[in-house]
Amino acid sequence: MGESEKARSMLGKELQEKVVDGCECIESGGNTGFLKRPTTRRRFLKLGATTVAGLASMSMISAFMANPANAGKVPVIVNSKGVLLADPARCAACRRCELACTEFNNGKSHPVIARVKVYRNLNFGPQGGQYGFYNSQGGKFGNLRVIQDTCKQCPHPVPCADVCPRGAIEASPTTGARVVNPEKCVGCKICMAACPWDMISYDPDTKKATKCFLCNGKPECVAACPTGAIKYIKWRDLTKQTPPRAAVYRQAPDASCATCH
Amino acid sequence: MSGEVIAVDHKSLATKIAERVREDSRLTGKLTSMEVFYERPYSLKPEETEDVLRLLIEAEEHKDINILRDTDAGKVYFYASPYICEAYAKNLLLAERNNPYVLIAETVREESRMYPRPTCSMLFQLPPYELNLDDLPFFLEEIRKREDMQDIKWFKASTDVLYLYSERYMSLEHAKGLAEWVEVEQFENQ
Amino acid sequence: MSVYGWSGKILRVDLSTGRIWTENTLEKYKDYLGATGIGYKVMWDEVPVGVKAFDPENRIIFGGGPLIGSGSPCGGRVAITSLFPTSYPVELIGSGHMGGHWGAELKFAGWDAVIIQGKAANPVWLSIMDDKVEIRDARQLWGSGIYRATAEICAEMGAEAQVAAIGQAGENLVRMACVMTGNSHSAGGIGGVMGSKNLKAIGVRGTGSVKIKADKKEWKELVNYVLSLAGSNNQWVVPSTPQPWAEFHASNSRWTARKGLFWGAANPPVETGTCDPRDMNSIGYRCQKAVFDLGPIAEQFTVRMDGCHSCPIRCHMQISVPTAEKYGVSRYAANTCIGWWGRGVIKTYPDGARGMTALEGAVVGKHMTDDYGVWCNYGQINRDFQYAYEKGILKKVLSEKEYKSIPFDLYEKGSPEFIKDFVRRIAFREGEFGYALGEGSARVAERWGFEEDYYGYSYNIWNRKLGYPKHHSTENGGQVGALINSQYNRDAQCHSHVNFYACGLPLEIQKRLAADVFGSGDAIDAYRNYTPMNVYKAKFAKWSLIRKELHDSLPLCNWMFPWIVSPLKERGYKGDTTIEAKLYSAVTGDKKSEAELDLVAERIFNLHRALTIRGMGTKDMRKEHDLVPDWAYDYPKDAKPFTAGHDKMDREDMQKAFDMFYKECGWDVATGAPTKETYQKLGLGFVADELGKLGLLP
Repeated sequence: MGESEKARSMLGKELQEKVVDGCECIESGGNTGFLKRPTTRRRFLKLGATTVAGLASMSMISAFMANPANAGKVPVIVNSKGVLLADPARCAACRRCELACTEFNNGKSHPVIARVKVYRNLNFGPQGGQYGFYNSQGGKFGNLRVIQDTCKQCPHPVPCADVCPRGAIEASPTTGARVVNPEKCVGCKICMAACPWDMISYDPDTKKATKCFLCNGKPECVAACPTGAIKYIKWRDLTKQTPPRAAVYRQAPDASCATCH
Repeated sequence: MSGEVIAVDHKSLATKIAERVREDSRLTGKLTSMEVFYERPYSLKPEETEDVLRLLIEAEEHKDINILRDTDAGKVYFYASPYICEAYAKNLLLAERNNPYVLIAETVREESRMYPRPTCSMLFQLPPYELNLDDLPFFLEEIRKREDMQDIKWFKASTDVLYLYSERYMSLEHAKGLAEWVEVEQFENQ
Repeated sequence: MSVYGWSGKILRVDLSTGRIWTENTLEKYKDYLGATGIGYKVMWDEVPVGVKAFDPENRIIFGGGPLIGSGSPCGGRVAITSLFPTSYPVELIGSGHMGGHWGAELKFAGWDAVIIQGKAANPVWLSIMDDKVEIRDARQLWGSGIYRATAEICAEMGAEAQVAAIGQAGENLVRMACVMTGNSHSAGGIGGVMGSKNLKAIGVRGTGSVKIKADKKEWKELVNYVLSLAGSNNQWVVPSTPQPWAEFHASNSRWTARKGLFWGAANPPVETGTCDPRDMNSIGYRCQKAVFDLGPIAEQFTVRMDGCHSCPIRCHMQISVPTAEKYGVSRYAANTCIGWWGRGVIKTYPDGARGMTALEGAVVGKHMTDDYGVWCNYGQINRDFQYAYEKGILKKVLSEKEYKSIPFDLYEKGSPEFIKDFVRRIAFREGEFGYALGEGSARVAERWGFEEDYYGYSYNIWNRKLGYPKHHSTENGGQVGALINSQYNRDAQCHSHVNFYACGLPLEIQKRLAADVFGSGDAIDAYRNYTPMNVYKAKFAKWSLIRKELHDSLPLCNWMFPWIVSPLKERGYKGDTTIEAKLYSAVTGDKKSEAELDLVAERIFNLHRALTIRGMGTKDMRKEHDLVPDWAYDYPKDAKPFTAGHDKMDREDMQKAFDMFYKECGWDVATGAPTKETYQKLGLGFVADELGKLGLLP
């Protein structure tokens, strides 16, 4: 039994639900969820006593940095300020979002590196090929529903950032989006395997990973969508609402995690 | 809404009026009557009207607000561009006047002249007209009698839908040909 | 060196030998842009006179052009060029056109076009995974429908793959067969060519990109500018009902969005809304096409709208009609316009043309025609059948046994069950009925002895020799539509004129805008009130045709472009006819003006003309090819040409129209054949040389 399961079994029903959620959000005074972390009852109470959340996160980062095992890595703890919310009922499957994403950011039309992905759900939905069971699933050969995949800008622990051996996935100082730092990225693709929603791409032209960075706060896909099917909203946790697409590679917790957890 | 004062001076009252007009135009597609602003929460006083209207007309930031006067009825209306355009606003005003004969005749004449095309009777149930089509026979009977509307004629297409036209601007043959195109043939020529 | 727009490579496959090789696009075909341009050039160079559509020596050329995949709005279409199987008696040059995502995927895989020749020994399909191209065994797919073939191929290549496939009709060499992709996109008439090559499908998966030459910011500005001028499907720039923002409206507009009109079967239902033209996030709602095509009843069954790659105008409706399942088909159906032709197999439905049974008929028809892969010749197959049935011809040409086996009682009752029986007979060439109707209109008319009344107004045949029907002919622009309809070897797939004629604006505004482009407002008449021919109409017709070829080759959708008009009052409703040149220049970096690009398009159009001349073996196009049917002059019987209310043309005036049109094109007025000088001016000197040797120059 892992730490969190152990903790859950010790708790009453109401608190158990909080732990299933895995997180407890502490408002930072602004309107952005600032600090999220796995929690046990003990930690929950302890943190609850900390009224200035900013201080808490600062001190955790300092502690983390003090650990020599973490040289060069910064954990992504701060929540994103915003997130993309896609409404499949409104999607007309034109893929102008993918085009805006890659053309206005990268100067090329390149769907496989698009940070919003419709192409892979077009014909058969997220479940993929169907061997003739056309009507039971999504897509144009199924029940006609097409789904836009977007990055959830995960709360801590951020799977792609956690597994990156170079600490190349960081929180943007302006938007909090989890962004690939091209200076650090070496294109090893481990982050791609770690994302439960398969939202990280490898750009063969730059030989680096690329993912949704919320266009520094003005997402191109949102502006380009001819049916207003993608909205840029204040961050909320969408990771619990969207079933994962892929079997996820998870890095074993390393020494650095023990610093905070 | 309570009786709170929403504007302390004429300029901010003009701004509040503009905001209301924009909202009405955008959400309802309807004209906003001046009378609304004599009520709470605007509580515009008759003696302030001229000054507030002047501020509204002159302000650069309110140049999207248009004023429409119905001189016969002595009423004033507002609408905001581009949510409502001039042509639509005029038809809204005609509809406000509650004179279906003039509304029908003016619309039919305009369409016969401009496009040119006959006017489908079904049009009049839609906004901005919103007439009850059950009353159409009465309207037509009245139009038939009115001397100033003798140019307005009508016929039924092969689908039994009634079309109107003004013979001042188009012939029966042209009107029939176009109605048949819209009712039947366009679907065979996609 | 980076290549922009194009990928730079063309894929060549010889199915007889199994050889796969590449050609350099720009070295060989840059002067022909892409799609139909490349197609015509390959056909000219490689397919000699005498080759028939289903011969291994015939080529079939699939492709887009420099703009496909580039994100140019409405730039997702593919043309498939070959000898056109239904053309009669000689199978002349022609193209089928399809949208969807297949062409963009091909570009992402690194290919501008695929050229297939030869015939495989066994059924095969072509797998294109980026630069890995394989001829795969398709024996297990042969005999299955398009849906299953697509699913099986995607199961192998990955769900992201795009597949262009034929159904049983194409396999069985039915001339009236199509190629389908993405469930609702079909390219008419050329399915049998794939079948004749034993080629079931081409699956494509591309992970590459299309590079844009223009600076990112510039490109974004251009794209947004183009989007700002878009109307609805067919560039209708006014809504179908009065809208507060709209100065004008027209009940037959394809801009059907309004408050209270929904994608009714979306979950939750989505309101199309007022769709102010300045709102870039509601363009995709403007065309609620289900209510337009299938009637108001279709609103509640509309799941959403769909269409091609990169296009904000969504003209393909996706509907869910649960009661259609009683006929044994899926409730989920998608298509647009004439793509719903299966519904029209039945002439009269018990509850009317826009009732529930007709809607179910549309769903049944879609599944039958799109899975078996049967084409309709712009609806003509239905008219052929109905003519033969109503005139008692079927009783004469079918054996008693076969006649009795056809459930005409279901046809008379207006039951969609009949559609299933009808389409199956065609797809499998069952009996005389299935065989003959699947041969196309010219052949069935001769085989079954259709009489003169078949060529009357009611049955739509435009060119009785080639057997194709009118398609936006005199009913869309009088002489202009007639000239356009006379130029191809299948129904004219030209919408350049319609996208201006049928835009919904008042005539006065149209005339003002026509004057900007053609030099005079006289280029355009009021609907159903035509005036005698003038030179501006000839200019309009020529311009429409060369823009059609330009659009097919770039590609930009000719069901949207060109844009003489826009929905913007502040621009005086002016569109922008330089958009094609702007997009082409920005994407490729090859700066071309509107006139320069039109010249390229004129080259492509004239190459099509030359292929027709060479194929027919006559230069007298005027007498032998450019026909106008008698009904265009004789219907309605009692009407006088150039009076209001009808589309009746005048014989003498139409001859004048051809004179003027040929002159505008630089063609010989007596024969309608391009002159040597015209070919040379267009960079087609090699064409003039060959035609000269064959005695086919005027």
